Amino acid sequence: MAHGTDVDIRVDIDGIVVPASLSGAIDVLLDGHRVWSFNPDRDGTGTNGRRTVAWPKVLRHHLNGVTEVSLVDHVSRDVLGTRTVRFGRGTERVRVVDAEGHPLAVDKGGRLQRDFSNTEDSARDEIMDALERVMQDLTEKCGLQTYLMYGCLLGAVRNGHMIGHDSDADVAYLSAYTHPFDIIRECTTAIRTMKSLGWKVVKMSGANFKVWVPLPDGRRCGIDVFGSFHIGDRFYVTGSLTGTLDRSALLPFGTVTLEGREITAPARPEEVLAFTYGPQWRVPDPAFHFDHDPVDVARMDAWFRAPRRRLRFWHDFYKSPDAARVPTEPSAFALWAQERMAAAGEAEGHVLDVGAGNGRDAAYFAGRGHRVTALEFTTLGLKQTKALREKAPGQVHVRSMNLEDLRSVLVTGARFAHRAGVRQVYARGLLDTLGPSGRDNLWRFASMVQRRGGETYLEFRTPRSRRDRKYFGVHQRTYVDPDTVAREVAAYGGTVVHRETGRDLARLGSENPHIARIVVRWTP
Amino acid sequence: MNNLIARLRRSSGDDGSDAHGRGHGHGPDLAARVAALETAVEENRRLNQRLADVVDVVTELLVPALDRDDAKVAAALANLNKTLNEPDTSAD
Repeated sequence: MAHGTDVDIRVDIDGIVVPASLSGAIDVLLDGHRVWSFNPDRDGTGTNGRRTVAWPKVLRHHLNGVTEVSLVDHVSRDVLGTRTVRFGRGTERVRVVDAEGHPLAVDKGGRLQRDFSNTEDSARDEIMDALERVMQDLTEKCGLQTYLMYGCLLGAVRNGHMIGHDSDADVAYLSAYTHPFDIIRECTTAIRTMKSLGWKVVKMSGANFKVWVPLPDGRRCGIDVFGSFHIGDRFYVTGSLTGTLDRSALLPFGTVTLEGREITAPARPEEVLAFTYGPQWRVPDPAFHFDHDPVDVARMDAWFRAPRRRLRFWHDFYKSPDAARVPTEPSAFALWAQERMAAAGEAEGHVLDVGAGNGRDAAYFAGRGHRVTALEFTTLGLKQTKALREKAPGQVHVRSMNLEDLRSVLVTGARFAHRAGVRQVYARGLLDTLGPSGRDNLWRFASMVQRRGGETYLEFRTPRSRRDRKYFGVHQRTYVDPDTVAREVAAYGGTVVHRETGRDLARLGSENPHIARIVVRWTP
Repeated sequence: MNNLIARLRRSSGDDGSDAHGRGHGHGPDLAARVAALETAVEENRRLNQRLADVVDVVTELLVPALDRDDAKVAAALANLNKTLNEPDTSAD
């Protein structure tokens, strides 16, 4: 595994080119800080004795300026090569840091995270304290059979320490149930209980959640809690780990030592690690990522993650440079809708901007004197128009609502429906991003909140836009036929009171999509 | 769901177009049936989450609603939202 220090490498904005003879996990350091690890055999492409490994997308955004790139063999710590590189036109040093200046690295999920390698010993103690307290509450207060899992178990069994390149602590619980419905209910109850105990908990899916623990240095550590269960003769651990593992490998629980503390662990941890990471689990590999069978991922998606569909996509979009390309001036549809509202005597009312995006139209409606509620499932984009909204005479309230999540729709819908008065529902470009289940929930929501009147304004690309060149390039889009919309609306008891289709209605840069404008009433 | 059942019936010959089951088990017909079944299975799996959500909402609201206790209904709604409606994309 040892390599010389004069390996022929080439580094540019597209990626890193290394000899095909190089193998194993390689750390990439920028000015001495590890930012990423890769495995040329697994992550590289190309033949002729060379492999090209592309920079991860999240890292590429940071590559502007000068830096010293070092490649280091993760196991032997041999420096394989060092190059001083200038990316783009920047002249400053490249910095891969968070808002507070803490160094970040790409984790196994492809995200930039702070990791344990920069964690001082005191913080490590804090993380271990938190881990123990979380496990104790999960066991005693939530009644869950909790054990150490994934990276923490791996680190404990390998050398008794947390793995430096990890950024989360991982525990799992063995569900008492064997049906997804019961498993989801069990997880919901556990989340409630943990919240009631004062933990900051974020639901990650129907069967796993994250507990955020603040650290003394201002950082926070995420403790991931994964549901695991047997269904039939298969064993599953959320994310998407699926296979054959006998219950006797897990129960009765034993212990392992992690950072000097005895922590509950599966009965046969080595067997669980082989199940999780494969037979090579003993060889350290920060470039490791799961290569789950798509069938297994699809099954877990359908069971537990349907409400999260497209969430990460939009979250990443609003974190990417593309977000700055979303216009902040009002859309032509907003102006058109405002005229129609004014003609109906609703020039200043309550507008629910569903799928508000960056809030450009919400800010406009507020500027015209409306009270506006901007509903979004990722509210990251709304930061862009914060100043605009604050200047507007009308108020904009921002609320989280996820149209792929029935609970979210029912609860949010009920709260608005209960309030007196009439409100308008405005959804520009929303149908372009929803699938059939999301549309179904939109009709449910709109018909609930407009049971006393008001109109639902829809603008969306029709299937005739499918082959057009797009302002934002490749994107997840749905092209729904206006007839389909009309049929679905009718099934929910709505009436289409206005419908037009055409081009030149919603230009976006050089894109001139064929769109439909549909207005719906849910009352006679 | 009705469309799906219709598709499944069509592809399995239940609509009378292929009463003798011709093509049964052969290439394109089988591929279409598998695709339709996969869609049906996925739809079925998603029902777990939807049903669990509905049961949860009903459970939390039923008692205060029957008690006509508006304050408790409002609190239950707020709590339902707060407890589980905080999607996070920080990790998967």
